Amino acid sequence: MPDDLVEVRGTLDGEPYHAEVPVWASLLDALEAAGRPLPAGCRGGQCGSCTVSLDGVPAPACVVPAGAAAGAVVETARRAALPVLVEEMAAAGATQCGYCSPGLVVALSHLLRTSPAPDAPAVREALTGHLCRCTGYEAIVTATLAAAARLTSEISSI
Amino acid sequence: MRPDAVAKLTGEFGYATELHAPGELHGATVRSPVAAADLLGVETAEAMRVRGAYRVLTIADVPGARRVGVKTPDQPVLADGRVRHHGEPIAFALAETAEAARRMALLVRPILRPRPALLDPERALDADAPRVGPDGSNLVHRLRLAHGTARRGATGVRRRWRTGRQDAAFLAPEAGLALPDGAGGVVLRVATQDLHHDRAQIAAALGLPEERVRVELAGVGGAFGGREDITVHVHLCLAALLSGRPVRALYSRAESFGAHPSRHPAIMTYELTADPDGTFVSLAADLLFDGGAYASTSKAVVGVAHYFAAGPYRIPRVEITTRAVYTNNPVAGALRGFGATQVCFAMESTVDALAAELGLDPADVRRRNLLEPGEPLATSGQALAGVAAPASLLDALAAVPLPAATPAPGLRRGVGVAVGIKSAGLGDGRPEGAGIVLRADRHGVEIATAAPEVGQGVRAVLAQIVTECLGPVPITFADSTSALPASGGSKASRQTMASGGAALRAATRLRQRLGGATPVDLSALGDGTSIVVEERYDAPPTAAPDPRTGRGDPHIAFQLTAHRAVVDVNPALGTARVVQLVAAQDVGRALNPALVRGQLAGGTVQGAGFALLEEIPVDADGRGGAAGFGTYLLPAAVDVPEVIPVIVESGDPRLPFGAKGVGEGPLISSPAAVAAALRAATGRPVARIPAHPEDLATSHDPAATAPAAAAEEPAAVDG
Repeated sequence: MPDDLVEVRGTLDGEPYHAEVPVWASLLDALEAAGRPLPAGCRGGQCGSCTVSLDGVPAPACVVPAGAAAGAVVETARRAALPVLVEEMAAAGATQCGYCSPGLVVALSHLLRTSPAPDAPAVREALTGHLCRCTGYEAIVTATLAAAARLTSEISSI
Repeated sequence: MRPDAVAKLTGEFGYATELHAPGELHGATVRSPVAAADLLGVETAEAMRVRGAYRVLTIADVPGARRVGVKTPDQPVLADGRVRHHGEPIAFALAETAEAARRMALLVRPILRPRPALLDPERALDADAPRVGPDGSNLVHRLRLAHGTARRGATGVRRRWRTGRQDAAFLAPEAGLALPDGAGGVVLRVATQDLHHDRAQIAAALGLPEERVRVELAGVGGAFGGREDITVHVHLCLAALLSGRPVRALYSRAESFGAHPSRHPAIMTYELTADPDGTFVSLAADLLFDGGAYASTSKAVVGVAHYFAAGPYRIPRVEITTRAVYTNNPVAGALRGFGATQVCFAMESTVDALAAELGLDPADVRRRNLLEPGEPLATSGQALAGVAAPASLLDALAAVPLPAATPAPGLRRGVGVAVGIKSAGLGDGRPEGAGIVLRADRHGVEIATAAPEVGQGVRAVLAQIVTECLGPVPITFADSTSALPASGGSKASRQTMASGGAALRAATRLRQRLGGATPVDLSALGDGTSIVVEERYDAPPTAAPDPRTGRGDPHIAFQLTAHRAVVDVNPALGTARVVQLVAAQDVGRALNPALVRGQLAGGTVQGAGFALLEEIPVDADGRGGAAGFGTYLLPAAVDVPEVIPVIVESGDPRLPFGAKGVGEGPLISSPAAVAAALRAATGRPVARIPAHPEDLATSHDPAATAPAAAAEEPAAVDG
């Protein structure tokens, strides 16, 4: 391997992946090299569209050095999404162009896993670092609260 | 539910930014570092020494038309002896990797001889102004109308308003992939608003017949008007044809901000007079729109601005002059609202100023002067048909309670209201229709449409129309390509009408072919049997107004909107927080209420962003652009309050289902409402948007606000 490349191995959505990328590359670059591109609105950590779950914590893949993610468990929305959240967001019209959606779903699924009964300000706070140009956030917040209510009632009915 | 919702939410949906093909080359654009210069040559030797360098394309490589444009073909494919704005494409560098292409683009050296730059639109028509326009004139378009008697009201105000350079700021940067088709033609996969307009421009530049160019819709990450003009299109197709290889390009975020047209910055002088009871008597308005270096859609934008400059009001005397000019500033063009947003801010702000001058409640002044349905617009004289009473939108706003919580100590609260109007559909005598193809077999119905799904949900609407007609049959969609019947673009809030109308006709005919009953019985179709129906909808015809009088019936239908904004301002810092936004819009009929609410909420927040945050800065040398979302501020979730959409349904009987376009309305009156609320909170004039903290800060000493009021002195009006 040329010395300006770094080999990254880890787990992506439950499967092993590997990529060889320049030493300066981001996790986003590594995932692209592995054939798993993500929406990427800014490549500078400002829009949140490439957010993945990195060892259980949401992070914009574009500002995570690929080398630092070696060995990590990476989950995109494909695996990290809470189905109940996806259902509520789809029903509420919380996705339009959808470019921000997978990143939002990763962040909000994490919110609902760690804070089962958030209020609207907490949902908006959890969207810090995520930009949505289409929806005005209204349907996203509504859907997240509806998903939280469903999760709470499912838990309390056990 | 929209058919693409789950795929988009779970990351399965593919976008143009993710396209690749085996053996691909990567392109990077070399852009002008200055606003105005002669281009004497392009040095490529150093760039070609980059490892992986393939070739550098310049205007000399363009075999067909050197200039293209969405309306006016004045924009060089690559700079042709001259650059007219900062960021103008000069060359297209090709390499084996994206990194190498970007490196090449940095090393390509354009030989530039600076020219004086025209940056002040108010100087554009001076005799000694540098010439920017293609025929030696800096006038893109001028419109004038004057109707009515010369009577003026006893009370009048004259104000000068300015609006800034808002960007579409769709989240997915421009991207595309071109592939040679092996027979001398080319296929382009791209995120766009209009496959057929793109194809026409690409074919012209390549010198190919249109059927040799195929444009395929790739996943679109937002558009809002910013994808009406071509960007990567010709560069990629040219590169694919010359190299015989697939070629891909992806703009950076900073590059995207400068690569598509922005909203026109406008300078608008309004003089409105009234009788003492508040009845409007006369309006004189002078509108100047900075089109930047190329025409783009400027002519159409100022047409909309001109004919909606007086809002939905009854005004016996109107006199309006509207101009779009060329400058060496970045190109301005289509953006949701399309000229109506700027004039709504000016007109509604002037109405508030006049009400204050008269000592009357601005809501009462509006109600006294708003048109009734069927009355003529003050500008064109076209009857305001197919809409709810404009005043009913004010009722709809008033029915929503104001926020219960009082402002935090030290903050000043303001409430503002604005009413807006714009056409839906192209109008102006332009053909307005769409084709569609339905194919039924025993498994379901496939919809083949060239109407670009840009996020607005046109596919959900078409599927809904077809299933309403046929019953609950499984619906699939063919890929949208330029090989399908033209649908026209996803713009001007037109696809629900145009492609929706075509879908209704096609589904009706398909139902007849299947026996005429709903639900249809597809199981009667044999294996391998299918029925194909192609249909077309053409909207009611319009005509361009008489250019001498400005009178005529240019509009197909109307989008009527109103907003109420509540803001809290910190008077010491000049910071503002929007507390509540209410958006009322007459949509005719809400075919899909969730989609309509999404359009209302999203467009309203874009308008609040325009009023407070969003502006592409252009420096004193004409260098424009934003480095990223740290400089170009989009509203974040914590910046915006609850947005309350109020759907008003007054069907337009001339349109399919009575449904009017929805998309642009929410971005017409929201900036004006936020500006009105800022004025109410601060007492400051807020003569420009976006309003900056220095426009909103007031001293703690009430006496010290006097100088701010003095700054509101009437401006001189051009002859």
